[in-house]
Amino acid sequence: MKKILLGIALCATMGFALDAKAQLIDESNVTITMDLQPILQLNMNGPQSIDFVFDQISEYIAGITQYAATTLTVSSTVNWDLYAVGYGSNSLGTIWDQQAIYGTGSDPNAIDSISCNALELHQNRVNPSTANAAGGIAVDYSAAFTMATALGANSVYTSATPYVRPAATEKYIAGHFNTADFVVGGTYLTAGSVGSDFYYTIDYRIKPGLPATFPNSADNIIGSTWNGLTNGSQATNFAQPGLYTMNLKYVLTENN
Amino acid sequence: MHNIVNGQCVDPGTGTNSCDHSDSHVILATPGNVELVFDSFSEYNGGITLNGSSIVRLKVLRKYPIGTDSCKWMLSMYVSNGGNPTPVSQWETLTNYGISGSGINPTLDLLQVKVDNGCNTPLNSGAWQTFDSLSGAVIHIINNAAFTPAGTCGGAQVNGAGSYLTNYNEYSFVIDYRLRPGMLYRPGRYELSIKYCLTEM
Repeated sequence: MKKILLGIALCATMGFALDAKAQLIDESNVTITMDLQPILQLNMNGPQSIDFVFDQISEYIAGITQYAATTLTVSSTVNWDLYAVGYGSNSLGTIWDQQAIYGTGSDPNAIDSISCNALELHQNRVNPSTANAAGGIAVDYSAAFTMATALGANSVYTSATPYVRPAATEKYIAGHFNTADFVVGGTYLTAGSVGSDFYYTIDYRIKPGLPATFPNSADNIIGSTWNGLTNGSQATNFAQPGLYTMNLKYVLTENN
Repeated sequence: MHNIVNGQCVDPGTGTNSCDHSDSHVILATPGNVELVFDSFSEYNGGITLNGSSIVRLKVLRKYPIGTDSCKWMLSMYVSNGGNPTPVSQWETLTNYGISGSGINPTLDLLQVKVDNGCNTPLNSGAWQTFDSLSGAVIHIINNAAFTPAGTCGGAQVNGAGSYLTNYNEYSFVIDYRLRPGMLYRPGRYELSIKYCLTEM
């Protein structure tokens, strides 16, 4: 009987001790989920089609420049790079598409394969991140349009595969090939618009020269030579009169 | 109940065991999942605020007769990121979006919470607050050393026995959530949990 009473007393004591420490009354839980979806927005203000009509000798010699024909504004939640790429739809991919021939077109020295490099770009501000760019003629399109512009300094990057990012030796408008070269995410809406790294105006120039060989045209490799006409020579050949078109694409991409 | 770990309710160890634990409850009157989806720049910049996404109601019963009891409680919210392998200061990453990725993982102090009720009884009632960047960090909603019974609706931290059924504005709490990520963080889907703990003091 004593043992039973002792057992009961012990159990009561233990029960009391557990109950006394158990001060938690109740709880409820809420799960918070945050879904940060990546956003890259490139707005292009300006005409979808830009025409260069050469019908004056002075225009052939001096070229035609269209200032601020395109305005680019960027908004991105991730670090980003921006580049321009010119291309045609023919098999080579990097020459203008000939849509019409003016005249007979029978002169064997009249060449219809004009390099897309003949199109020159100028951006209003220097690329803010090019520390690791490697050895091209230029890292961006910020060189001024002058008579003394270096060969290829403003020639647009061309590629038959426009969605493959340009190599470290090519030009970018902002950011560059190396993963350490990028513009930090943000938006022109809050970064100060004009004058910020999220706002660019683009000038265009085409200078056929006389005869029309596009003397400024070259790729961005140091030591490159003229390539305005992709076959023939600068001394004896010229661009066949006609209507030509090419596609210029601006690509905003996540830095990688 | 006695294994106190980060993100779990913490027993203050000072209770008098005067509340009826079996019939006292925290009742979450709203869904247990709150999702904030950022898919526009205005949301990234301005943030998303969800007002009244959680409503917590309390029913705290006394164990002893009126006049002889000292049932006194506290209400707290604990943040948790689920523990290892997530670093203690960060949200748990469910998945990342995009390629190799730039940006950093969000920290727990990104979440802002605001608690109030009809009688302004919570500590810091109506003010936006953040947790410390530490899984297990706490924000107290009611943490009053003095015994304060219900019924006056005067802004004091009521912590006596009672129920939202009889004193709704003193035993219910509305919680707002806000996130303003900006452009700093790596895109992805992140998660944390908040535990509302009712403990006897």
